[in-house]
Amino acid sequence: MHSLIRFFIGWSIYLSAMNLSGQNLHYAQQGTFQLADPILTFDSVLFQSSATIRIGFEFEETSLYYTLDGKEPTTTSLRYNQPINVKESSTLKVRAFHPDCQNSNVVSEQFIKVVPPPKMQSIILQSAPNSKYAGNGASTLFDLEKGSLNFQDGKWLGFQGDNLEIVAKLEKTTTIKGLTVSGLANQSGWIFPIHNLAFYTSVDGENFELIEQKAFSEGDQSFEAGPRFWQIDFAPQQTRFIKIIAENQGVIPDWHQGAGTPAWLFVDEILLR
Amino acid sequence: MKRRQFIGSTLGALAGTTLGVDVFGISKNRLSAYKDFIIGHGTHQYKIDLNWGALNPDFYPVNDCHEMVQDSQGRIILLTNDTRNNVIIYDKSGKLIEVWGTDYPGAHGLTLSRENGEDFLYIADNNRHEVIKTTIDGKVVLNLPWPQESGKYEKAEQYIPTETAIASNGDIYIADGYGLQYILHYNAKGKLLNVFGGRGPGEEHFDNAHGICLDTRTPEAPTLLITARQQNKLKRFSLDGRLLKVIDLPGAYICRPVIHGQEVYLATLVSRLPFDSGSGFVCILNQEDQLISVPGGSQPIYRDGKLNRLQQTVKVFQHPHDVCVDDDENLYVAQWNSGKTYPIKLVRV
Repeated sequence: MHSLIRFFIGWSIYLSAMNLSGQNLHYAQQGTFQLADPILTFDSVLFQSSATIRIGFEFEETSLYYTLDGKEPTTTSLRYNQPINVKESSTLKVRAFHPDCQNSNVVSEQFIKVVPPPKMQSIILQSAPNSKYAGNGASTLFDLEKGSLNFQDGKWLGFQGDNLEIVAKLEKTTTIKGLTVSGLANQSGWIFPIHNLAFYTSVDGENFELIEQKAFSEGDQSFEAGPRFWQIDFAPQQTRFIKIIAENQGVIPDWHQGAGTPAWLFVDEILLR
Repeated sequence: MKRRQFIGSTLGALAGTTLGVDVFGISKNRLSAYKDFIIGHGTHQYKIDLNWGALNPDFYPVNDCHEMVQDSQGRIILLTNDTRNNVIIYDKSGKLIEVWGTDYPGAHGLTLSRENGEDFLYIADNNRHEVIKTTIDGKVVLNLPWPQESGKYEKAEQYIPTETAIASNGDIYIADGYGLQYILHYNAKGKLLNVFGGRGPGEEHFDNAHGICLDTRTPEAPTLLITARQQNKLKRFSLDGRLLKVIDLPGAYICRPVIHGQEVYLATLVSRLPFDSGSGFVCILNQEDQLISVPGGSQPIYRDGKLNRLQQTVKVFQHPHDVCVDDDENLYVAQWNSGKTYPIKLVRV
């Protein structure tokens, strides 16, 4: 259906360009151009009580529609008139409409409600990140500061070929029922999504027991660049010792231009629930 | 909604064709359902001619269309970094007149200067690390090599000039926009007189000093306008290199200032990073350095004297790199990295 509409619009533009008489119109007509992507402005996609999102688009007669339920925005969705306040984890999708232009692409951003991480007595990174992307060491992963799409901004840990493996000793026994790893995928930057995410606990800090793990297969084929959140949930665990392993894609698969070389893994935050 | 509109348009068009008469009372080649799309704001609004200057790329190819000027015969001169024809000369309608130039692999900056009744061109070549002055038909009359005598450079490769500006006394100003960010001031014969700018934290320094021009709108007190593209700023300097004013254009990665009449026109490469984001437009400033029109971009809005961040609103342009304003006040927009397309003409309404 979607492709039919697209075809029809394309065909209509073709007709308009040809003016049905075979003569080219001199100037570009209404309906020829697509609106640019609306730009979202906000402090951080991670928030503790609420996030405020502004959408800028100073172009007369443009209307912006958005959803918070994951659906594609249409002209029957919520209309943007004032800054959006998000109080629960949600995905914002926005699209611009104008009577003389083709609709914009859908711009999407995931906002996540977080709680401050439990106080930690020690955090150990089992393998060191690449020195160019070492951030502020392991604490970078628990500072509630999201890295930007510029992965050289010092808020990322980047691993070439290695897994991200951390072992942490919490100051006191804490109940944990799930975790989200926030990272980046960027095919052209040879940065691959996590292959597998696993969570372990321990009584003594020596012997760890696997509580939950989940495989992600996105890196097996072509993927879109952008931020990613990988999540696992499990029955509430009371523990002082935790281990998290975010498994690197390892060797870049055959379909990619970097086939056979070590893949990059980029993580900026680990959110415990 | 969109779809219904198109269906309506198509039916209207069919009806008009079937009847074979001008049922809508508009010119013969237009039907009421179709309207020219107009971009820009206030006094500076434009129709868009997407086909202007399109040539057979097998014979007259372009790579990046970097800069354009109009010569004193009214011809439109395009500089491209395809060495099969670095210079393509059109009439204003987009008809090809002639091509020349095969020696400018890094052809980037193009400035026209009328000296003793004759047109000359100054080509800033990124790859050759020098500026070349030619006659209007391409004979080289002066080379300005890398400024070893300045003491600021150790080798030619550090010097990547992007633009020139020529004063009425023949003095030549060169912006090293991809190199060490200095502005080099020569006399007409090529003797280095002064160096200023360079990288640094203060406003008198540059990050991507990409474009430069002489501002002679106040004839008794000419100044220099220089873009700091990465900083989204246009900076005004005295002819001897003192910073006079900084004009903020947040979100606008401006390439070079071009003065026509009382306005400054600036091709704006992108409005967000990365540099290939295809988010460019054109900026037009009045004599008070206020942004008055943004063809392809957001309406200029000042709050408490500060300009709202600019963004592309409609995808007319990808990466505008220069604007040429002709004697009819129409614009020609040359684009970098836009799929080897020819310039877009904007016709003022």
